[in-house]
Amino acid sequence: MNKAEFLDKLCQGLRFQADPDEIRRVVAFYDQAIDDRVEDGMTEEEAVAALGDLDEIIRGVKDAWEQEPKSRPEEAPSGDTDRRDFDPAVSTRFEIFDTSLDIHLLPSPDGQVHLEYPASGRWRYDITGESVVTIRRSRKSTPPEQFHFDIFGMKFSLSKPDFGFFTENASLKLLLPAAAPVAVSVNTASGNLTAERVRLASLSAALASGDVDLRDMEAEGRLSVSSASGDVDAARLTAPEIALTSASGDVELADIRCGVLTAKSASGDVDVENASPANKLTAGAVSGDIRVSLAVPCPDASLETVSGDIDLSLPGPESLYSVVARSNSGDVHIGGDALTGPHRVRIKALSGDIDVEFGG
Amino acid sequence: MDAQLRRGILEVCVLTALCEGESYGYQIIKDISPYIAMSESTLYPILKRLESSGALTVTSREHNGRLRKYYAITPAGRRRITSFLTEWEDVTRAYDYIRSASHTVSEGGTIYE
Repeated sequence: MNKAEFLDKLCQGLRFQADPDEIRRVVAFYDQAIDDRVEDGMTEEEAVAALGDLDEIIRGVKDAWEQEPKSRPEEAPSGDTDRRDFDPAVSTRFEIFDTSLDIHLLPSPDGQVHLEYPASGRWRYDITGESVVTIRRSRKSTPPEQFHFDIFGMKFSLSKPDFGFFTENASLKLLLPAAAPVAVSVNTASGNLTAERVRLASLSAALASGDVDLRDMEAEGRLSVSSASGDVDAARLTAPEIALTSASGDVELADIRCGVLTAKSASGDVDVENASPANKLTAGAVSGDIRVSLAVPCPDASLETVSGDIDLSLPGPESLYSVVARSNSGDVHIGGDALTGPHRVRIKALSGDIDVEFGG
Repeated sequence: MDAQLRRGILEVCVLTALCEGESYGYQIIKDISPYIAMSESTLYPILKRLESSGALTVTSREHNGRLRKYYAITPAGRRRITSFLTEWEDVTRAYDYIRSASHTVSEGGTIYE
């Protein structure tokens, strides 16, 4: 089993057990444990095997959680949908905390922000705050729900029947108006995040094993997304600062326009196609490959891997650039004399090959 | 070994591994392994407990293009080791007593060391 498979199985084993932060901490801990062994000379497979039986690891983590008072078992939410509307002039920031639901950011049909979330007998969504709206899913206290009613002055209460059933693709939707962009932060464990045709003030998202898919998106401020073992895909994004990272998943970006761009993965590949970072580009991987093609010259580009290969394609003549490329044991090929140009490019690999082309 | 006792000893071993300076998960396991067996699944809850009890602090720093968590012992953690050593003197005295009387315990059986 390689690292990505191991971390994904670990996530799957833990997803109904705790808050997303805790799952992320566990995944990061084992991610590091594997990387440290690989750095010590083991292969990924050997490093995973050295950690011992996965079921035992999951049991150990669960035992540790159960010793703590705040741990709570979770179940999947069910069928129907509830809805809340917000005025973006009042509510300017939305913070979502969940563990397993998919989260979709979509354009609003009017000038309001709309939140659609699953209604369930077992689950409760705590939606609090006015300017900063916090959306947090928690299990209802048991007994879950009661009807209270009076008949001829006598008080009765009945447990509400629970029609909850498991729905594989239960999701939470936040519909956002482009004319009044709000800030969004997302925190989830195994849920996926998608965003399409939305304009935001800023986006900050942290996922454990979920995948990220962002398309046709614009942010006035920083757009930062990280997943521990999920893949990050993005196309046609515009923002002053964009940072997209994954620990063991692939990062694939196309047509990104921004000031500062950061794209990183540890064991996954980093693919950046037709990007236009006006000020700075940072691309990093450890064992994955990096492929970058730029649409406009970037004044400060830095690409670094350990064992992966680096392919860089730069626009315009080589005289625009000064390229410093170094690989300890890999081959370095630079397609021209790029030594004195104003645009600085630094490339570093330990054992990977480096290839730089100009005028593409 | 009794689970409670083992856990207590492991916690102090982890703190001891940090006495010379900060360290990270895998290095802690390597430092301790000649003395007592420990895996990541045991280490994780121990680090968590030690952090929440204020015996160590955690910082993330970049290392070779990735983030690595480093653990550092606090003064409270050092006090924990000192009190363990003091308490252990009592245990050692008790051990010596038990051992000196072992011939009466074994009653002609074999003593395994």
